[in-house]
Amino acid sequence: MENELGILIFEGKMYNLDKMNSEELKELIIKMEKNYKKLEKEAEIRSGIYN
Amino acid sequence: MENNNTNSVTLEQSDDLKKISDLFKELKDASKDLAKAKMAYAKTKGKETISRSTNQFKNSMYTAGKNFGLKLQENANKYQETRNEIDAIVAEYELSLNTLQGAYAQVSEQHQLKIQELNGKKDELLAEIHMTIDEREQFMQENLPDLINKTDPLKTEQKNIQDKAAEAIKNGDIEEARKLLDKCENIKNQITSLEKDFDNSQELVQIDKKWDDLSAEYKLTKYQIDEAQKIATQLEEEFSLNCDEALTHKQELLAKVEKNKMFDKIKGFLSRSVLKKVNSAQKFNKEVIEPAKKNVSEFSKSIPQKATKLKEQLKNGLSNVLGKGKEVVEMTKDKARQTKDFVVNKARDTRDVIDAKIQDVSEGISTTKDYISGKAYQTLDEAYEFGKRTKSKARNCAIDKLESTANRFNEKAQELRNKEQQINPNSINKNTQEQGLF
Repeated sequence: MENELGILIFEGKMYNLDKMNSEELKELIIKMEKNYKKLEKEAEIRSGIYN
Repeated sequence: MENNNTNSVTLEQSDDLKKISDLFKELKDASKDLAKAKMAYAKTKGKETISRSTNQFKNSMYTAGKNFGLKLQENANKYQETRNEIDAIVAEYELSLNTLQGAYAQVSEQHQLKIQELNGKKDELLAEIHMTIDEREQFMQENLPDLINKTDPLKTEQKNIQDKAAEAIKNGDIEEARKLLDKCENIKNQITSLEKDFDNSQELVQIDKKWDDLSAEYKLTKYQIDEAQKIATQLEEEFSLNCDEALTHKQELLAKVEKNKMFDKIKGFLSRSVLKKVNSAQKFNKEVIEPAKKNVSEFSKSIPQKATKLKEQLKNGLSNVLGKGKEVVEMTKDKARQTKDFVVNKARDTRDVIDAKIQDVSEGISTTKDYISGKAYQTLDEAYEFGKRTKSKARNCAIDKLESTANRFNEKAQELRNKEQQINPNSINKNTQEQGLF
């Protein structure tokens, strides 16, 4: 039985990672990376790192 | 009332801590999900590449068959054996690619887990930086009132003595005014010394050093993550290159077939009837099937080596990034040390310059004080003489004149004091320290 990555919830939407093609996954990754950078920046600012 | 204030501060702090804690949790989850999506991408992209390559390989075999005059796609029994052979070769090719894809997926998973680990470390460092800032604020909250408790009475005393000195000047008691101004100077020095001790206190210096070190490590980890991300692209390229290598065999095969086809055409003009007798299936078998079988078999044998190469590529890539990281740590630390030394030296130089300026200003102030005192004395004398000359009727007028002159001199002295305050070495030192933190 092959390992399944299963469901991922991002911005209120549900994504079945095992059913998506590479283009759809790429689009999702770009959105997720943007969101991660935003969160990271917020945490940095709150921790006194401004540059 | 004080209790309420304390409570509101505590609530505010706890609210802030909750926000930060939620943010770090969100970051951790986002990093985990991102790693999962990237693993899914590597897996899916690999499968798609295999599917595309396998189809292309099969189609190229059929096209080659067509070139040999074999209509393999037709459901004719006479080609069943050839079709079976093609299917077997394609299946072996697919199996090889699947094995390679398995290794690629495994390597990508390890890679993403490593990035996730580095992200976790980075977020922990960020949390520590945040806690250090809290620690600094806490230190300030705990110790600043103590400093204020020490300096405030001194400042009040200084103000009272200043007032008395002004009063003494007003009353013409210049000697007393001089004594009082000396006292003022002494108190001012005490205040400066207390403030300096506070800025240089061991605990505050340690907190600032910790903050500095954590910030440097945070920047380094971020750099390592960025560099490690690039390995994902290298691994994907390596995998595609391996698949392309198999397709190159196919292209070579086709080129050979095309060449033969051309040769056959030329020959066809000469002895068409002879060629017709040649068994196309046998020729196809010799020219296409056998070389393809050989190529795929060689490709299959090279798979473990290719898988090892992918694993090595990840291992070396990561060790390079983390090793480079160590160099960067040393460089960052050296740079930080150099920057700190530079800042300290600069601060010392600046302090020397400021000290010199203060010396000048102090001398200026003393000269002005002497000038003021002398002038005031002279003015008092003049007023006294004037009063004597004009008797009591003009005495009030003389005192008014004296007061207005003394006020002007006081304003002048205040201006000088403000100037001195602006170039106070304490404030310069503090600014330099704050800049040095980033």
